[in-house]
Amino acid sequence: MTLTLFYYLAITAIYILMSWSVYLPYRIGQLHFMTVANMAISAYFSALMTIHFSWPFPLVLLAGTLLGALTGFAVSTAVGDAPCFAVVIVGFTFIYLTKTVIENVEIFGGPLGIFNIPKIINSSSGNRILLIIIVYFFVFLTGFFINRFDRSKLGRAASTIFVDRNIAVSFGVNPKKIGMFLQTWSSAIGGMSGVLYAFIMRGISPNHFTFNFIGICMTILFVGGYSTMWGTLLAAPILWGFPLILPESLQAWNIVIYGILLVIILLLKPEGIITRVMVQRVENIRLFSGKKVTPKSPSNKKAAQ
Amino acid sequence: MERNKPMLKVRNVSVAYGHITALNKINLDVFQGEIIVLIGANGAGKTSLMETVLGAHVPENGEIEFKGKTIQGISTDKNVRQGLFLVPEGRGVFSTMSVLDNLLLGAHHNRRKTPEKLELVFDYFPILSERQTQIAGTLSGGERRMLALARALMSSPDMILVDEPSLGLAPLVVNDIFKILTRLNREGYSILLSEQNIHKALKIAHRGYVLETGRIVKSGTAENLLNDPAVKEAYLGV
Amino acid sequence: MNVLTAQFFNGLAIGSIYVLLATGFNLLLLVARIIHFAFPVAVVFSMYISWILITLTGNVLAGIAGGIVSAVLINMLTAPMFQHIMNKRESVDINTTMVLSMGLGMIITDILSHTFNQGFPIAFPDTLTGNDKGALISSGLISISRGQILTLAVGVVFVVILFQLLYKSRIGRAFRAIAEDPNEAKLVGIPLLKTGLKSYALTGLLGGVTAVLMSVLLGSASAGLGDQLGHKVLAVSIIAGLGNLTGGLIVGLLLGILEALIQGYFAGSWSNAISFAVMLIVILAKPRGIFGLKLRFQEI
Repeated sequence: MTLTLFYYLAITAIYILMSWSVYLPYRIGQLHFMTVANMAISAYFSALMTIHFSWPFPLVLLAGTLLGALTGFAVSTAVGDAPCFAVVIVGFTFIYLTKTVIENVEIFGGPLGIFNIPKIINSSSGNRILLIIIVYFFVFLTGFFINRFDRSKLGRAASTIFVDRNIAVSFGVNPKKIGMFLQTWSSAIGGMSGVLYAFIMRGISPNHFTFNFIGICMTILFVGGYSTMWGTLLAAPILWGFPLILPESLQAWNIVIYGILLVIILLLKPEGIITRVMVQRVENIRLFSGKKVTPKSPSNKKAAQ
Repeated sequence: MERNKPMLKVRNVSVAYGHITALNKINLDVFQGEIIVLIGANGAGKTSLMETVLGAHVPENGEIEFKGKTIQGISTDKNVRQGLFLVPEGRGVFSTMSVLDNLLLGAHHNRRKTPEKLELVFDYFPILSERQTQIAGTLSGGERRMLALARALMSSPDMILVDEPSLGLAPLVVNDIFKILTRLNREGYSILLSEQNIHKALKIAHRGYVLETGRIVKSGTAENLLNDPAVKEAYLGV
Repeated sequence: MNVLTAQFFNGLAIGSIYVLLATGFNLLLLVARIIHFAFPVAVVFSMYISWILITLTGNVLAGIAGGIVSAVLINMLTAPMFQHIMNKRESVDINTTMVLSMGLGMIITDILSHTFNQGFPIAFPDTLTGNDKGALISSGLISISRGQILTLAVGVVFVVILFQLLYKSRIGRAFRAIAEDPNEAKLVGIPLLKTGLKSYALTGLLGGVTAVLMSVLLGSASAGLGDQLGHKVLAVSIIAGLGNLTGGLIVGLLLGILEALIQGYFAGSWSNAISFAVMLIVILAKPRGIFGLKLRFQEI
C-alpha cells in the first residue's frame, strides 16, 4: 500500500467518523462541535500514554474513547437540551481552551506538537494495513450502531424533536435524555477518532484541530445530507479527496471551496444530496423485491411532510 | 364609488394548506357601508378567509377584488396601503410595546394627519388616551380589543376586517365593542366581521354568510338569517 | 491601583466594541430572524478593505469610507441568501441560517488568510491610529490613548442613537413589532422582507463604524480575529439572553473589563483562555442566558 493511498483511506475514515459524530446530535438539531475538542484531547492523551508509559494500543483506544465519553457526558448534563447556538458556543469554547492548553503547556510540545508515536506492529507496511483494517472496522461498527439507532424508537423520537420539540414533549419524549445520550455518544466517537488519528499520523499538533476542521465536517454533513447517515458516507471520500487532485495553486483554497459548496447546497438543496425520502424509496424497493416483507409504517414525521 | 358595485368581491376562492382544504370556492360581496357577518364554528374557515382577503395566504384559484382592483396574490402591506385592515383574533396587540406605539404601528403606511387621527381615536376610546404610555401587555382583555380596533382606525381604512372581537370577553365589554362597531359603520367604515356570538352580530349586521368546513352554505340578510330555522338550531341553540 | 484604573479604561473601550458587535448581531436576530455568527468576520474583512485603501491611497478618510461601505455592501449582498433560506421554509429555521453564516465566515476568513498582505497580520499606520502623538491623557502609569477615548465616545453615541431610533422612530417601531411577533407584524401591514433588508443595512453601517473603531483602537488585525470575535459576540449574546439588547450592553462591557483586568495580570495567550473559561462556566450554568431570552422561537 502506498503512503498516499494509506493516508487517503485512513483520513477518509476519520472524516466519516467525525462527520457522523456531528450528525448524531444534529438529529435533535444540536451542532455539537465539542467532538473536535474531544478528538484533540484523546489524541494527545493517547500519544502521551503510549510514549511515556508504553500503554498498548487497545488500552489507549479504550481509554481515549472513554475519556471522550466522560467529558461529553459531563458537559451534556448542562447542555443536553440546550438550544443549538448554546451547544455551538460551548463546543467552540472547548476547542479554543484545548488549543490554548496544548499550545502553552510544555509536555504537549507547544505549537510543534508530539512526534514519534510508535507503530502498533513493527513492520511499516504491516502497520499501515493493520491500521486500515482497524479504522474501517470501527467505521463499520459505528455505522452499524447509528443505523440501528436511526431505526429504533429512540431514533424516531429524535426525529420528532428535530421537527417540533413541543410535539415530542407532548408525546412523552424527554429531549434532555436523548440529547445527553447523543452528545455522549458523539464525544465518544470524537475521542476514538482522536486516538486513531494519532496512530495514523504518528504525530499530532494543535494545527490539526482547528475551526477549519469543523468547517470540513460541516460541509461533508450538509452537502451529503444531514437527515440520514448515508450522506456522510457518500460525501466524505469525495469532498475530502477532490482537493488532492486539484492543481497545487488551487489546493490552498480548499477551505474557500468547501465554504462555497456549503453555501450553495444550503441555498439550492438544504436537505443535502441524500435525503430521507430517497433512502426510504431504496428501502422500499429492497422490501418488495426481497423476502423480508415486514411492511413498516412511514417511520418519521420529516418524511411524511 | 357606485353603490351597486361591491367594494370587496370574492369569487370562487379556494385556499389549501398542504393537503388540507381550508376554503372551498368562496363567493362573497361586501358593499360600501355594510356590516357583513361571517357565521361559523371554530375551524370553519372564518380566519382563513379574512387572512386571505388581506393577502396573508395566496388562494389556489379564484379572484378577489377590492375597490375595483384585483388583489389576490398581492402582499399584505400593499393591501393595507389600499385601505384594508385586519383586527386579528386573540391577543391582537404587541404586548411589549406601549399603547401609543401600537397605535402608531397602525399608521405605519398612512402617516398623513397622524395627530388628528390620534385625536379621533381617543375620542372613540377615551380609556386609551389615559393609558398612552402604558405597556399594552398590562391592559385588560377588553382594553386590548379596543386598542386593536383603534390601531385599525389609525390606518384610515376603507374596510375593517374584524376577527372574533368578542372572544373571551365579559358580556358588558362585548356590548361596548358592538356599540363601537355600529358607530364606526355609521360613520362610513365597511366592516367584515366574524363572530360566534351570532345573535348580537346579526342584530348589528346588514347581511351574513354561514361558513361550514370552508364552504359558504347559506347567505342572506341579517333578518332572514336570524329567523332561519336551520341557523337558529345550529348556532343560536334555539 | 494604577494598573487597575488603566486596565479599566482599556476594558471599557474594548467592551464598547463588543457592545456594538453584539447589538448588530442581536438586531439581525430580532428583525431579520437570523443567527449571523459571521457578522464580526465581515467586520474584520472591512478592516482589511480599509487597510488596503489607506495603503494604496495614503488617505485615511478613503480608508474609513471604504471600511464602512464594505461592511454595508457585504450585509446587503448576503441578505438575499439568508432571505432565500427563510422563504424556503414555512417557519424560520434558525439553525440553517447559522450554518449558512458559518459557511460565509469560512470563505471570508480563508480569503483573508491567503490574499491580503500574504496572510500576515496587517498593521494600521499612525495617521489613522494617532499612536505617534502619544497618549492623550497620561499621569503616572495611567495612560489613555486617543483610540480608547474615540472608541468609547463613538460607542456611546452610536448606542444612544440606535436606541433612539428603535424606540422613537417609525422604522424602529416596525423593527420591534417584528421582533415581538413576525406573523402579527405581517398582519398589520409591516413588510417583513423590506423591513428586514433595512435591518441588514443598519447593522452593516454599525459594523462599518465598528471596523473603523477597531482599526484605530487595536491598530492591527489578523485573519483569525474575525472567528475569535464571532465566538465572543455569540457568547456575549447568549449570556445576555439572545435578542436582549440591554443585556448585550451590560455583558459586552463586563466582558471587556474582565478581559482587560485579566490581561493586566496574566500573559497573552492565557488571558484570552481565562475569559473564555469564565464565559463557558456561565453558559454551562445558564444556557438560556442570565437576563432571559427576548425571542419566542419554537425551534430553539
